[in-house]
Amino acid sequence: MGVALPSPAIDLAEEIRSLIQGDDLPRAAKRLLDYVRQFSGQREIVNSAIVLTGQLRSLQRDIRRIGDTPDRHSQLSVLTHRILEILDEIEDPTESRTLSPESPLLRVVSGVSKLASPPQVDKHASAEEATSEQRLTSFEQAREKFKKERKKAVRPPTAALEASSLQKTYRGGFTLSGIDLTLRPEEITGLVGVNGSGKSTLLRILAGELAHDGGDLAYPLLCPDSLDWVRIRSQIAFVPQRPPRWYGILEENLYLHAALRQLTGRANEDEVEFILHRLGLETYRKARWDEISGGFQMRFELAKALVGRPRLLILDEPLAPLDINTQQVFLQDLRDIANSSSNPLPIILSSQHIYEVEAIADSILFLDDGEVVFSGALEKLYRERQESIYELTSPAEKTKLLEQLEPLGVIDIEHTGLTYIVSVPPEITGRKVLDCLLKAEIEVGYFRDISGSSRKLFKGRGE
Amino acid sequence: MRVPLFGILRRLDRQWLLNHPVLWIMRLHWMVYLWLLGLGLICLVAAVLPVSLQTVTLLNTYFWAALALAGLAVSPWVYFQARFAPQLRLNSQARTAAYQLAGYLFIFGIYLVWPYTLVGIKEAQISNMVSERELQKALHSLTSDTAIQQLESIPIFKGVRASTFATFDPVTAKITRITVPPELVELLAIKGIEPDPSVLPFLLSDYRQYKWPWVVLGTIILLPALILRLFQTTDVKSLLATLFFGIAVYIALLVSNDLRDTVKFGIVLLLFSVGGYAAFYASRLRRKNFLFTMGINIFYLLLAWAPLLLRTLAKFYGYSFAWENFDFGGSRLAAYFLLGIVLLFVLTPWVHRRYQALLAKPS
Repeated sequence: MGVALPSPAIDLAEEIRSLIQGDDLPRAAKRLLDYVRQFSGQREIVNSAIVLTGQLRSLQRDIRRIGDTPDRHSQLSVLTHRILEILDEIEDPTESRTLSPESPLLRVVSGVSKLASPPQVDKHASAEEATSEQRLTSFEQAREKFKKERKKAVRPPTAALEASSLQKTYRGGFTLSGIDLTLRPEEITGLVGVNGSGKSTLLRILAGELAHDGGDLAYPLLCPDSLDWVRIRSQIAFVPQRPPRWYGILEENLYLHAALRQLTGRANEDEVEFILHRLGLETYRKARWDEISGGFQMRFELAKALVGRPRLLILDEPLAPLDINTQQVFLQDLRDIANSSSNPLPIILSSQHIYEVEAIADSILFLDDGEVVFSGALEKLYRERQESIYELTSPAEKTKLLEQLEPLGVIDIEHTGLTYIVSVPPEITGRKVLDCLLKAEIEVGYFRDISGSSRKLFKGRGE
Repeated sequence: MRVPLFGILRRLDRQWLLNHPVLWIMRLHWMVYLWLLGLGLICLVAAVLPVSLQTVTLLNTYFWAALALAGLAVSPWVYFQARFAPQLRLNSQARTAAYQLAGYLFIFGIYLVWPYTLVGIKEAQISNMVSERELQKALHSLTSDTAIQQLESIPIFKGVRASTFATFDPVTAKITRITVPPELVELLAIKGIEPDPSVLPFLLSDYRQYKWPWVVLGTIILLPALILRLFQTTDVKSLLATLFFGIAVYIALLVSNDLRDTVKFGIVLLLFSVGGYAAFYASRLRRKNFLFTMGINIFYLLLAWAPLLLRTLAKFYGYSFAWENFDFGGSRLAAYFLLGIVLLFVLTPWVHRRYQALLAKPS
């Protein structure tokens, strides 16, 4: 009997299957890597997925260069089966396909040529593995163990960026002050706040574009000895809110950018190919700047930032030009990029898409009028809440809502034009609020608990 | 239609794009290819154009027309450079800046071969139309000592050495040396030398501008190469400020004839040293601004002319360098100019590092 998989794992597995259905094998292989890294406790599986991905890329490159042949096609088919097999193995490890050194799944490691025959399931070996002490009985345990091991193995000890009491004053009077911030590899920091709160200013300071007036700024991981800006900025990828126009063909720009960052020859081709697939840009590889939409221009900027293998990624409002589907893919990609085992990245991004950013961010920095209102993990925001706050839409009048929620001890209801922000005592759950409204036959179109979201910090600001 | 060598060039293009980004950005392979095609065309045109002794009066026109064609061919490349090469600002290593400059000089240099090929072919054709006998007759009096003395008595020839008139190579002797301003024609008349009527058009032809190698080198090869290089290492505002400022100073120097030479040289030296100061301290500046970038640009722009400027200044104060006695094959200025180019290449990586430091510094 299989172990219950967490929901994100199921979603990811489904995504991989749909990518295979859509014949997007490179992306499927990359997502498989993300999948095994996050949800598999067995290093063998991770290794075989890495090798499989490499073989798939190599095979696809050959097909692209030399053309498809029946032999290559059958190799591709075998590799596709391997992806599905690995998925099955992780989803249902008690089934017979556990990887042992003799397992046909691991034969992937020894080369595609050895995989001419269809995969055979070694049930006997799997059964033995199932009783092994090495075997983890719980999926979550495996995942935790793997994460700990990985952290021990690859996590750099130093922060990429450390800022303390950072300050910047413009002649016009606006002051950004008291910014304390640490960015570490594998961490995503969301920067939120109302318009004109200083988000872009802060990001430009962190990217080395804008000089700060006070406080300390250091890049221990990028340049531990001094502030050598040439060295520091060559390791930072900064995608501004309005990226500049570029010239020529999309893929040529990426090859060029990679080559300028000393990534040459085949490694250059592979990296660009990988990024093109990862960001869904392969259709537009021959496109020019004015031939692609704003969303794809932003994807290109991210691709350009990534092919340079930066050590710090700074994104200013990257979600603004993206549609909702692309936003989700983009954010998931950011998460994966941050967690990359070969080049774990610290990422900081500003956005007005709070919920989307919160879904992937490890911590949030909320700015208002140049000052930090909140900084830290969202759990902290929820834990230290003084009141529970819910966001809802309803055609009902504010007075009616107040009247109905009175018994729950409603503290305040703010009407933002489209939604109501309802504040109640911390012990009042969302279910209670919703029940109360529904009992009174008040129509509710949308309901969200924002007690642990930075959304509640916008209350009463930016008007 | 199948373009010859296109496949090879495409492969080379890919190879350079993946491995040598600076070469790819400079597109040397495409430019050399286009240059070869153009050279073939120029030769064809030269063969087709009619030749007569009067053609010599058209040589300047041919030269500038071919130069315009070269300019036209180079324009898309310059545009491409202006668009792509700024990416090298922070990414490239300092030594690649020197290669880049060398590449620019190379491209501008080879395209200058087009007009010279055209006028060269035409000169050779015209030269062949004049017999050796006629030439010798015309030159006989000129090369005699008395004629030289006569020539030197005229203000415009004062200081010109006899060897200048005596050391003719066969072609230039026919075309250049007897094609001099009307003063010489008058002198010939005074001396009673009756040139052959067929040679007369040479003597009456205007002064050919393409014979000014230093003007051509300085303005057509070096200057655009430097400006292109500057454009890539600085922002447009600073570049324009540099150029406007530099041009304004030179115009002022030209117009103010009564301005003492000391002041003129003083201004140039001041610009040079201020720019050098800015370049040296670029990385330590608290704030970067376009004035400092402009200073660096001026220093950079004057670098190639520095030995010539310093020599002129030294001569002005009566100081003579020991090597002034050597003739350098009759072209002392060329040697100084070459020294300037070497200086430019040696110092380009250094200046580029300063640029990078200045550009990278938050402002």
